[in-house]
Amino acid sequence: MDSETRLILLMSIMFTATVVIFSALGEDRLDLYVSMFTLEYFVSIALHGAFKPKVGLYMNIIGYFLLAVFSLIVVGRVIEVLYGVYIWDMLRL
Amino acid sequence: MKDLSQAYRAVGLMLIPSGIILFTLAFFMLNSTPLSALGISMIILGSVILALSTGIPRMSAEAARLMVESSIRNTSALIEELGLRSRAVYLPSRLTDGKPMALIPLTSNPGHPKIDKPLPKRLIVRYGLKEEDVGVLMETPGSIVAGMLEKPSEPSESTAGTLESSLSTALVNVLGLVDSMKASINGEDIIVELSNPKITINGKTLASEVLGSPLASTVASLAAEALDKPVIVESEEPSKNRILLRLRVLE
Repeated sequence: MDSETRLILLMSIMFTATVVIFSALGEDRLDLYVSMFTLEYFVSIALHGAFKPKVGLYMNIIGYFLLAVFSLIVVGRVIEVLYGVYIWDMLRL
Repeated sequence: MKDLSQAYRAVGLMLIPSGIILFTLAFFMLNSTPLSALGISMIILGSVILALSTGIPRMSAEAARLMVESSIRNTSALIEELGLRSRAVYLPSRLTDGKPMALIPLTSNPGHPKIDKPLPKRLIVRYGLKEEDVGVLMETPGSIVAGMLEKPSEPSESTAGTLESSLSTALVNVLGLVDSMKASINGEDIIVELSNPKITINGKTLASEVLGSPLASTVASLAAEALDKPVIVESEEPSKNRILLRLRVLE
């Protein structure tokens, strides 16, 4: 099995397990799922090792995007603690 | 190989819109957090697969093998014509003009050439003060690969671990030439074990006797660069799904 297939398989298993386990536990916070996906993404990338330069560039872009989303989640939680308003709930129709 | 790259692209391009649709439906209409999370995971996975599709080689392994084989035969012809018999010395970029290269001495001296200053970027170079200190300086696949990797900050401090990490990055992750590898350093000897090599060249050529096989040549160039010292290929022992390489570091 080549390293790319291993990475895809590992990420798929981790993401699916997260959704199955958290939903079985009755978890309803989307930010928790997204934070776990971000963590799992970085763990998988670290386990894979170095990428070809072009692939590495795209992986870094995805990583920066996930990190930005994670930062927004943290900011959202801080706002919730300070003002009692949560951004995710405001987005829902 | 082109098919595999296209398959990756197709899967990636299918997963991203599907994930967006699933997330939109689940988050805004069904109000289901697990399904929304599933949509997000599909978007991330689709993006990763799309990114990986850019790294799959467009040329088939068979075509690459044929090109390497013809290149080796040409090099063999050149080596035979020049009457070169000595084993090549793999030099780090510090001793050449910017990239690791292989020096084949014209004469078979009992000792290996001692090089302490950078050699000029020419095919035939003088590396010592004696008249017979002339050799052929050649680029090898490892010369190009080494340029793709980050140079260690303190090459002289390289250990078996850092050497293994550097070789593994190049051979397993970047080039995909072997499934896994192990390296150990014992004094001046380096032992590298390559598992399941993907490139094998039929028949023994003069180039493989002087430079080593394409894999050995790549490993030697990378090891020379990682340790910042000249390296020679001592022996190569291929067996079923495994190649055992013995390299020697020259001071």
